[in-house]
Amino acid sequence: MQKKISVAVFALIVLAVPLISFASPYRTFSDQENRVLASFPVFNLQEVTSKRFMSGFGDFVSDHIFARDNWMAMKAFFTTLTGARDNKGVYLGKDCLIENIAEPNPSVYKPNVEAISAFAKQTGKPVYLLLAPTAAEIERSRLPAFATTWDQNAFIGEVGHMLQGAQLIDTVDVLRAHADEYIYYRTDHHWTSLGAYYAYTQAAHSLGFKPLALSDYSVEHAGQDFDGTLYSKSGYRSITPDVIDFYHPAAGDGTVRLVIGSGAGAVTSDSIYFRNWLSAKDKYSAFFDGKQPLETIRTGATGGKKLLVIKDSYAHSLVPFLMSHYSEITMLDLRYLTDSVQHTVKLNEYDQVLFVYNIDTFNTDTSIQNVNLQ
Amino acid sequence: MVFSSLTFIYVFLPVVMAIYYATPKKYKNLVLLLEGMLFYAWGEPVYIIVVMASTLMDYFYGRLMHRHRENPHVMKSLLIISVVSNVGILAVFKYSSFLIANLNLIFHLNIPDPHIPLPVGVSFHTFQSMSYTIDMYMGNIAVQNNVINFCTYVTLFPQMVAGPIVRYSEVEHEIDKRVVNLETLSAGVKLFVIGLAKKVLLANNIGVVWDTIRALPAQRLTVTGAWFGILCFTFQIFFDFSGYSDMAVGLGKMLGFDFPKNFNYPYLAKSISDFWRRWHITLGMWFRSFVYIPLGGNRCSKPNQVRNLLVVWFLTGLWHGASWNFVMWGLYFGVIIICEKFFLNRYLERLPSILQHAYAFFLIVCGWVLFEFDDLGRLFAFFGAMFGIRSAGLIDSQTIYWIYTNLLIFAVCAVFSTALPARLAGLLHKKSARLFAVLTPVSQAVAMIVSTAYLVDASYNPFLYFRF
Repeated sequence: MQKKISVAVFALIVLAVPLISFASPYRTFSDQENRVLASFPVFNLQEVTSKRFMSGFGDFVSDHIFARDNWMAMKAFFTTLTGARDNKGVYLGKDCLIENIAEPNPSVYKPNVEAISAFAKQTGKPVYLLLAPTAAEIERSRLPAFATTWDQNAFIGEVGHMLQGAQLIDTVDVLRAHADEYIYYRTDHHWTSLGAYYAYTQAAHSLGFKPLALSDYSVEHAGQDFDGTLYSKSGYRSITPDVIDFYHPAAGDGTVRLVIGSGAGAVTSDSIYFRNWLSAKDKYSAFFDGKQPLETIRTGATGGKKLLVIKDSYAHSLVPFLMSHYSEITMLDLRYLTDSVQHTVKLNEYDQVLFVYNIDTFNTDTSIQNVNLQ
Repeated sequence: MVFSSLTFIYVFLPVVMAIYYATPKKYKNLVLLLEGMLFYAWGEPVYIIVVMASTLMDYFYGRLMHRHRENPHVMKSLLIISVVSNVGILAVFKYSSFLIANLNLIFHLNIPDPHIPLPVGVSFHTFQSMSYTIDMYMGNIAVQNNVINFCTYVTLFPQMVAGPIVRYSEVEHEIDKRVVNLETLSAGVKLFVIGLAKKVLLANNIGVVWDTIRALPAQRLTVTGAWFGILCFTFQIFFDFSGYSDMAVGLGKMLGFDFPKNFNYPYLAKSISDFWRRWHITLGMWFRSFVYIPLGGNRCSKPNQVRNLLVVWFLTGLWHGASWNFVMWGLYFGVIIICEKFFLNRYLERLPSILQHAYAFFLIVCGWVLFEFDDLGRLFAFFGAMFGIRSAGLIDSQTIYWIYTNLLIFAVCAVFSTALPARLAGLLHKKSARLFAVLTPVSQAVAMIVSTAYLVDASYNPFLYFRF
């Protein structure tokens, strides 16, 4: 009897999983993982002999198994049961998830630093590099017991030494001073608006203006129940969801006109906040409509100064604070920009150029090297 | 395709088994052959031609041997041709880069490396195919006249790419006539699920730790960290390989085949000779039957015995990969086995059994260091870290983190390396057959479901035998 049941249970599982998956509605995009799911691979001789068909088929099966998100959460749950305190490079910290970002890779960051130095020399403009530390550095005390992560502070110092013609903005100290505040999202790899505010106060010294005080802002708890990228990546489900705050200067946001893109395809908006994202999974995209290669903000600020920001998404929380001090800010994301920098913007119109990258992007992304104008 | 993948478990397996069971007896071998070819072509869509060509060659050599069985000269020539062509395939597809690199180094030549990619499982199916012609030559088996039956044997998908190495003589009768019933099916399910859980839940999880530790430069490792790392690998390679073998034997049973056992609690060995009677048993038996004994085995003078052992262990090492560290690994065991044979065993046998276990386990673990580093500099640096030479001290917080976050998996691995779980299951069966009858299917279902969850979210699911 037991043998019959054993065989029947096995047969049931190996038949039910594919059949239920086949019958489930077909998804092309995973909100949880914030990525496009694999589509059925192309079948022809070349795809087969190169084995691309087979690996694509494997991805397809894995991406379209029924209740994929629940399988992933189940796995993460089991890893915590076994005593593991990290899953897929994400630490399960004290009521927060912290990404254990990869150690610096000299073959990526050295050319990045050299490109920024070369850019500073070529343009002759005041150039600044704000290298944002991630939660792994600032929130060390919240890591699981005995967990280690590499020294981002020393790395920032090393980059500062290498950098020529550009000024490094070091925000480690100011962020550390507020480490027990809500400066990084619990479930996402970004800093919060509050974290970005403290970085802004530090940047103000270098950029040459007086920062507004925290009390000069009214805080709007705009996005509730935000489960960020680390929530998706790790599968850990036990962390309190995040809140996305918008900081509005008490004096008013001023007249804002945001232009996304350029030329015929440009889209304009009267706000930098895209509230439609707040009801989606990827709530962080509410800042500046997420991934955009080129955005220009005309602010109500007087003085006529223009700032060029070359950045990753950490800048999306920082730029709202800078808007009080510049009449115009242009943001370039080189990862999505297909044209060259000098074809996209007129460099000589800007008073200052600010690079904003978190350390992980700076160590892994090579598109930064496209700023070298030669 | 690997067994421990969603594609295999939830697409290939149900489809292939359903077709196989629905096929009339007469065509079962043909269906199995086509399924085996599909399975292999999934991993090697081009090299399947090489496999089929070498298989057909051995099929014809077998028939020719049968026809000329009265003529020892023809028999011998045919054997030599078969061995040379199989070893030739290995030489070209597995060892060409290694041979060229060494020739260039020794003779200061400049032969360009053609960079021929290694076909998966080439070492397994050439050895299986060769076992047929060698056994034909030795007169141990009858000729197989049916080409489909012979090709079915070589391309049996359960054991084609990672063993066990099933010799033709072991399945000779099952190729022609085999039965599938509730007994074989339930035994097959049991072994497959156990193997899957060993691979996905134990080997993959403990393997992540070793991968992290292995990637660090040795001077950043503490003594404890280095030992913990290599012990994790000790468990990873065992549960990965024996899990894969269990799945293969289990799938064989579902098809009506009785494949030989490949592992028998190797880490309970009391000596290195004992270890190799328990680890990858089918490979050891192959070399024993087809190399060691034909060379004269131990029925010859002591110097010749030593030579025979060194030849076998050189080849065993080289079989595992085209790199000097594998040769060193093989010869390391060869030398220890020679010492054990000629004098060490006398002393070992007098030790308390716990010390015998400790002796063997220590040497096995050190062997895995040889196995894991093909860069000699890193190999010695890692040994250094294990023994406190240029290591980062005795212990640090990173080491503590590795240990405490993996302690449970590590402990489970340790327990399942022994016969204890099987013994407890036997005891339960005896004490309460009813509880056993309930717990068995339940635990199998849980193991399947949890393994599936780990496969859906697989960030780490390596195939360790790609170099074999």
